[in-house]
Amino acid sequence: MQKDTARTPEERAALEAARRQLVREQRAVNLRRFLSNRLSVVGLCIVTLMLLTALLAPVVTGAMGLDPYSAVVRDRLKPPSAAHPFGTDNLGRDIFARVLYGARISMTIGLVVGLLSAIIGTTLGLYASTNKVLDNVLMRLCDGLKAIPNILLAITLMAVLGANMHNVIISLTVVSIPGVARIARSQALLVREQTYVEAMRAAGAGKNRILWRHVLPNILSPVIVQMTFNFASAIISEASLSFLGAGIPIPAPSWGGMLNEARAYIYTGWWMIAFPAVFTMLSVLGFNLFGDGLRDLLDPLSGR
Amino acid sequence: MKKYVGKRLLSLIPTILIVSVVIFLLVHLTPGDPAAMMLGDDATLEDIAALHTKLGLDDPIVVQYVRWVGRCLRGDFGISTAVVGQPVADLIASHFQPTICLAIYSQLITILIAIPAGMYAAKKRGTAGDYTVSVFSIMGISLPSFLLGLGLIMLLAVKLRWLPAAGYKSLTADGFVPFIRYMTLPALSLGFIHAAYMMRMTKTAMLEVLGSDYIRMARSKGVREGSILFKHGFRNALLTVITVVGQGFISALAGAAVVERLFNIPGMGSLMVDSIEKRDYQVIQAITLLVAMLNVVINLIIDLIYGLADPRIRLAD
Repeated sequence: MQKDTARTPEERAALEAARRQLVREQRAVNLRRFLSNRLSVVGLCIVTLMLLTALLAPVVTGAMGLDPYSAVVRDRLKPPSAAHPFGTDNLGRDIFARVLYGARISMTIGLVVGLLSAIIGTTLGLYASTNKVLDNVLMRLCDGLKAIPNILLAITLMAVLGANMHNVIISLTVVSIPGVARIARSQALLVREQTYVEAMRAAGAGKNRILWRHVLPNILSPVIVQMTFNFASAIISEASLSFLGAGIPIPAPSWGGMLNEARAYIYTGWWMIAFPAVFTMLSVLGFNLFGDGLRDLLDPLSGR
Repeated sequence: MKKYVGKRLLSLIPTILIVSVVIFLLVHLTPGDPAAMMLGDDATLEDIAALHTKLGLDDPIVVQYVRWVGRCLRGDFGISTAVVGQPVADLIASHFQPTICLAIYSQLITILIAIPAGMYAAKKRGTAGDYTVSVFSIMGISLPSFLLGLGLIMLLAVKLRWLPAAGYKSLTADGFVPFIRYMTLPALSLGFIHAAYMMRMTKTAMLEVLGSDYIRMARSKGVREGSILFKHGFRNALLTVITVVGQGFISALAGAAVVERLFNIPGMGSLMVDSIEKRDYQVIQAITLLVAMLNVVINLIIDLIYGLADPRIRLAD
């Protein structure tokens, strides 16, 4: 690389300060644009609220003296009251505490699946863009995986691996990777054609340096948007799997599992269904709205 | 066109190969011995070893894969390990009808809701009606089918008592009216999410067409609005809609696993979920393979329709 020797340190510092100022202004513009879209702000609020719920679940329930696991037989199937804000379930467990702890499970799974599939998918997509043979192999593999409907692939994986939290994360990550890899690959192919990458190549930068330092930052926007949507679909899939008894095993308070247990009490205990259902729907809605807003901001040409 | 069909068919080969290898390996690498499971707890080691040889479980993995593909092509998906001696193909055949009927019915509902709503939203762009449609479509996309199903049961079955909460009546054995009464709630819960998506796609496709030069031309010639919307607009948006209908059919078949369980419908989805508990991997493998292959075939048909309808596509390849 050519060194910036023609300028004095003061000039360079001034240039750097001007660049920072530009970046700050751009950020402020972006933030204003994001905030001007009411639906994405609603999404952001829901997402923040859910993450806070997940973080603070032990504190809040502890302060109220509630526990997600302790079953009090004489308090079975009680409707919402001051002592039990969301009522109690068929075993006399407090539904408020279980729903709050359920947020921990859902958010953890969404976050870990979203991040893992983004990291693995982006790496695969980046390397696929460098090599024709590798590209062909990886993309055919993605086509193959995508031909199996997501929920069926997840069910099959869970049946084979066995129902527990780790395996839910593994299955849902496998299901999400092809989508990210495709996006990363097609974006990387575009970016590699750009003049600045050619300039880097001419300047003698190594393959990996170009890939990770120059291509990666320029394909991140669509990947991040896809990650938000993967977060939402991981929450749906986990709830569906647990509802089928193939996800998080009981007695852990996952929303899907709670709904599965509540099925038998649909005539006698509406609160057993209503609260976990509303929380599941709200969090998925929140991440989808947030993702829509992010997409309009980061990636305005795609998707619409 | 012949060349186009040939190319499309050729491009299927790697996909089918990979799908089958993935599904085969998934189940093949499962911990646990299928022979021991089929014979139960009081089988002797000799019995298990004999069954191993009989089933070819000691052969190299490639040989086993080729043999498995050969059997699947002949419609033999193996023997169920849970229902002893029952061929998997028979099990699937006896659970096939409810799932297919449900998928078709839910797609009919989807089309009836989504296409008029999408066209309406495109026509009345920016009005309150358009926003209502948009809000519904975002909510629909965020609503897992079993949650919608639970909501529908609570409202229409428990509270209003209009429709039964669960159960199944066969179209052929019990007649049309009972079938519709029992299947409407499950079909709605399966179809609504896809209706949201189809609504969005119809709207986008219609907006694209309505903004094009030939529509402006037709308008300036004085063609009536209705004719523009249906004859010029919808016909050109139809290709997108066909794709979405094809995808919807597959997602209804896949989503059946959850919805059938919720409504106690004895279809392939229930069979699959039951098989998880019974560790009957042959059944899970067969159903997944079947739906994936159906998916590949439906996508092929959509591609062919595209090629037939739009010469640019088959020539560009």
